[in-house]
Amino acid sequence: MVSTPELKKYMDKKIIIQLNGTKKIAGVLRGYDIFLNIVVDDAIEIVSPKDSIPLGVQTVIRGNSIRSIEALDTVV
Amino acid sequence: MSIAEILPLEVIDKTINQKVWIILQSNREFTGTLVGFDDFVNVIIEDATEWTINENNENELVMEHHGRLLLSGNNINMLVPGGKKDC
Repeated sequence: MVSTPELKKYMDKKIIIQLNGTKKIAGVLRGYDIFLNIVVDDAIEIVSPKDSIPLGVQTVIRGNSIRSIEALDTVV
Repeated sequence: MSIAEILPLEVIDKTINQKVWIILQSNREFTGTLVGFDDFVNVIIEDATEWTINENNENELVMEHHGRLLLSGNNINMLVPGGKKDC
């Protein structure tokens, strides 16, 4: 019996995700599942403070590679 | 506030038969047409293009594949429906 990640409070908020390499992705959280796979809208990869690469309208990020999720908007 | 959340595996399901951009944990990426996937998000792509990202953040073409390619879900970081921006 695995529980759902408690990401309801992060829904539709802008978040920064650290992945297991050195990658950082920013975007709006649109959905998630029990494996911590997430759907992010308008994701961009942050290469450096000046340089970012836009990814796509809706991106799926595998839960396996997520190290942390930080909310940029205030979370209740 | 209703729960209208989008399930990740549904997004992958919707990209079947469309272009997809798959980013691995290493500096490697694949673009191609998504044929299917399984519970482990192993992925079949058709006519894939394999890229590598070098230190200058440039895309280097490694190889163009033809036919179907089975990509192990073990190393997949991200899947972007619609393919890569500039190609």
